[in-house]
Amino acid sequence: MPKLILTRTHYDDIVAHAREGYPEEVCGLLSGRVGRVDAVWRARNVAANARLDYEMDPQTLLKQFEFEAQGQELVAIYHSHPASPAYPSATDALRAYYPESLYVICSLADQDRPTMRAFRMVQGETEPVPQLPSEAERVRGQSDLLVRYVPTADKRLARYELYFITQDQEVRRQVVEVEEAEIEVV
Amino acid sequence: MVTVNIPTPLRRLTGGQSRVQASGATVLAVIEDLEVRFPGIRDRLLDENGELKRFINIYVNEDEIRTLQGKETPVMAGDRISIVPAMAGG
Repeated sequence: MPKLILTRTHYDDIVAHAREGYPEEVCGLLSGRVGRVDAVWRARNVAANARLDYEMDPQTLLKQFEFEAQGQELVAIYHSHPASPAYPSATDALRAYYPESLYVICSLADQDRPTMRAFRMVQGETEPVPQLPSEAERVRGQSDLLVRYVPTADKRLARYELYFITQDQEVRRQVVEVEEAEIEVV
Repeated sequence: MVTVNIPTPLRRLTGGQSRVQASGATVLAVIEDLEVRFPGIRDRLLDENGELKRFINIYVNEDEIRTLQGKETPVMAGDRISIVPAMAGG
């Protein structure tokens, strides 16, 4: 099971960032080594609709190479969910381009009790499939994409199946594996 | 020659290398040069129309190329190109 280790100060800093940004989503980076966080880097959310989406600003994106030059790693990418649970959305799975890093989500759905969870998300290759499953649902803001969420018996593991409709009306599927990581506050 | 920073998600294509050398007078030429040695990398960066993918950022030194001349942005010997997939979601 993947693990994220951070101090109480780091944890509280992420929650404070989420509260300051409310009702918009905030985002940032956690640098460190082998799952252990050394620093929290607040980013700017440059998404067009920051209440529903996040997109990290270009200069913060570039920091991943600075971390490496200093012997550090991009341990995790964090963002807040102002009104939804601390669980990856379909859009989070769609944009999960960093399988080596963890995705940390801080939820303010219950303002008095923020929650934080961490996940590894791994995107598979996109491949053609004969047809859409009937349970696939539209993804907000995406006209050519449907999604099906598939839980497993192990509640730490699940997957999103993304169904892309091509211009030729073909269906292509990409599976995104979601695995919850343990968060240890030290 | 320019130095290209490869992000962790694309290092499968570069045999694990985090930094590679490439040549070309523009960002696009650099991408084509990378494709020769690391087949598949072009499709990770450009869409079927040859345009930079919406959720890929490419920098020449500190500047994202959408703020310059896009994929036609000139590069000079010694420049540092960085490829960075977006960090985004909902």
